[in-house]
Amino acid sequence: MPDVAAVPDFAAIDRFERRWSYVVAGVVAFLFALIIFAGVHWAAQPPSNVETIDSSRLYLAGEFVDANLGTAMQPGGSAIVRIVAQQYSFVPPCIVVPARTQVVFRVASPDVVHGFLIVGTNVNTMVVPGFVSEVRARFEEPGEHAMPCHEYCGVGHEAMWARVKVVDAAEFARVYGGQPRASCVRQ
Amino acid sequence: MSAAPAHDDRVAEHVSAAARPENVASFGSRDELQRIVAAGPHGALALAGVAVGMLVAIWLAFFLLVFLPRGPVA
Repeated sequence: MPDVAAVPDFAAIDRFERRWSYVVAGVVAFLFALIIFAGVHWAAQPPSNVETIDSSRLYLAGEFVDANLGTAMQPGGSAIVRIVAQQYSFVPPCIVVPARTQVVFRVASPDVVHGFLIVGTNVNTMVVPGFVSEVRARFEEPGEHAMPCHEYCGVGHEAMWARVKVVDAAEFARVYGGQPRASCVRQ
Repeated sequence: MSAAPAHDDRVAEHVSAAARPENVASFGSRDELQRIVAAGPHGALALAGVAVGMLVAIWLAFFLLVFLPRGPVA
């Protein structure tokens, strides 16, 4: 016959489990505190703009007509970038923004759900037909970032990407200041 | 193919390997076992502690070294 197992001290096990639950609660509270600190002190929040738009008339009238796409400087010094994400390209396919400037991206889709992501940054949102996606960001250093669609949108999905060129604010004013809607498509 | 035997005498005498003391029980004495068990689940605590510690360390590394340097979004 096998040896009969010793009776464990259930009170000790209860003590261990209670202490472990305090540890886990502490870890969860710590992570929540960090997220709340980043959200409040650092003003970092998930992009959660809810704004509807008639996707079937995107190119015909309103904010996302062809002539209005690209980067526009605002009177307050910030830049606003309007982009259309469609099967299978971004319009404009090359976006230019000034460094160390508040940039507001406004993106809409006339067809299916697309993904909007700028590699090497925290800019990342979905573009859902019928809604305008809005992301606020700031680029500290000049450089170039890839901007692929990261939401499967059809057979041409893997070819759907654009690039974001961050240039010095003075250079932006000099090279692109004369354009009402700047882009680097022809460069 | 040969037909299966109608009755297998070995079934009644069979002892599962899982019930053998050398497979499942401590080799120590019962008192020794009692002492180990009474001390509480230190091993489980150490394993869970290391696993959660690694998870939190990786999360913090991504938060501090990847997420924060990339700048705030809203």
